[in-house]
Amino acid sequence: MKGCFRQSMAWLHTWTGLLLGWLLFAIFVTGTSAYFQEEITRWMTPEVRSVPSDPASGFVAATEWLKREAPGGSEWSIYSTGKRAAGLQLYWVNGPDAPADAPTSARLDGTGTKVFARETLGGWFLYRFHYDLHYINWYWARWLVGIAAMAMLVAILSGIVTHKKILTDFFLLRLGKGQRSWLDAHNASSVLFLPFILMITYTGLVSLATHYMPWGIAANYANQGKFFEAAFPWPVPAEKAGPAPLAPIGPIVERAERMWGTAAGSVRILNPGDRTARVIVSGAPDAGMSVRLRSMTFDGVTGRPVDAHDPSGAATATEGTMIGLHAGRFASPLLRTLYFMSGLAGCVMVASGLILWTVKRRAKLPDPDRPHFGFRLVEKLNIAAIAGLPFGMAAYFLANRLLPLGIAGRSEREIDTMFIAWGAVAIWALARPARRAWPEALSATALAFASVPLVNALTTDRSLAASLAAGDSLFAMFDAVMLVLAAGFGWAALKVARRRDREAASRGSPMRAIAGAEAA
Amino acid sequence: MIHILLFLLALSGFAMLCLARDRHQRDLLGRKLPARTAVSLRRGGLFLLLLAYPVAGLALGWGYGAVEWFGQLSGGALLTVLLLNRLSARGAAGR
Repeated sequence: MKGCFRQSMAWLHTWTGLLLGWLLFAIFVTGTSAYFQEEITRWMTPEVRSVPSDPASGFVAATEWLKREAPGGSEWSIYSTGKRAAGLQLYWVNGPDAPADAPTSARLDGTGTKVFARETLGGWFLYRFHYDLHYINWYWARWLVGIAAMAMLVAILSGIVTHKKILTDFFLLRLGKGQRSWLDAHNASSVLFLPFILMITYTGLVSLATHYMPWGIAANYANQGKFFEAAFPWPVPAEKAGPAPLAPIGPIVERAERMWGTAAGSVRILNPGDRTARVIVSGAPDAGMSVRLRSMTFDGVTGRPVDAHDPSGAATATEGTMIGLHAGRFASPLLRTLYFMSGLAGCVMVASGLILWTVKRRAKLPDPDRPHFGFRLVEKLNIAAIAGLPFGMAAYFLANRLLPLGIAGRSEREIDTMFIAWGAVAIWALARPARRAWPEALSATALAFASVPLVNALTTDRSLAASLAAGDSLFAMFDAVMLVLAAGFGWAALKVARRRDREAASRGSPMRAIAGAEAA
Repeated sequence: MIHILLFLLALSGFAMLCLARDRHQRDLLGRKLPARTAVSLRRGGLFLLLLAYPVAGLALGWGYGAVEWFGQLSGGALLTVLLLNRLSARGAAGR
């Protein structure tokens, strides 16, 4: 009975993992990059030299800017993502006398002046892709991602059951031994990082729980809007009552920060310059673990607090903390690096699992030279996903530097470049024999990543050498990470190419090949 | 400082757990340790890993501390596995 249970779990693990593995790989890779979302955005807007180091004084400068650029507006909002923010994001609603095509948003740098940078979605796009995908409706995308995450949870739990010696083999990693090495790599990446992998999958599902399970809301509220209104109140401007000067923003923000003991992250001003003005200050997204932020409302003329919202109910706090754990916005640089490493371990886990499927079956193929259709399909999809997506991401970074600065829809073209490059690898994988396509696609990815610092040096004045000389650790780190990725993919390409040569040498004697596979 | 301490606790904890196993004793030392030593290594290793939790909690707050504790455990375990792989490969080549 026990063996039977374990076998059925192994079956479940294999097939849930395989069926959604390619999508899971894409989610893991882009999601991992999202831990450095702000840093990627900063690298992708090299024109921006200064970033807001002190959000509190940034809010004051931004309010002054809005007074000049958007007078008569009915609503101003200023958002900071916290200490690592690539800039202050401003949104406003224009007054009735502003022209219809007047701008309604801007990004400010650390000196409080408007950023004139290339149009890009930067790291935000990769973050967004990891749960909304692209080119398809976000509603269905979230369902797809949710199904993948659920399959992941099933694969993790069934994988724990399937793993016969989770404690005995805890430290085992035998390299260079074919199938056993792939299994060891799959086990090590998942077992050593199991707390993270379980957490990230579960909290990922929680963060979109109201999308997947709307019935709790449906039973208690007239509609979704009513629920969000109650859970996350969003005051709107009142009827205007006559001009009155706006109270200074600095002391208001300071007061909220003193009250909470943590930094403020956003300021919304309703009816600025009117007697009905309201200033709503919310906490910084990186100041606490929960993503549900506290806010305080002030009278915009007298500067006195009139209302406070503290989402500390048990359910909201639990939900907010789970999503916070997933997003890791609170994490210090060290913890962020641990998050990133754990994410990479997740990528390795999915990739090695996908490869293991083919490695395990290759030995048992009746004719290893002519595998059946299903085997070939999995092999090719593996190349398309594991080498193709990183290649696409490198192309995304290259497009950011190489596309003309003024072209229309630039940010969308960067994204298109990523998917065209990804698709090209997929087509390449389909067209070539897998034996050749693996090393070719991996070397192409290595070259693409290696050329990112090079192209950066040629197209901007912020090359790796210049960044190191200027002590600009962010740009230097980004280029360094690109080189490390290039080295990693290059190493993988070399390994695969060597193995293919060895296999080619041992072919012609099928008995030897099978014996070799069994010995490994 | 606290981060280095946590990492060292995780690393030495896992290294001791690793050394408590017959198989890895052969890999690393070329001989089997007495059973009593193995038991103390296992207990000591577990103790260090568990000790890291209150250390992290007291120094960083229980919420942040718990997150970092898990992260550092994974990091320490990974380095142990990589070291074991390197060192036992060298041992095998030398023998």
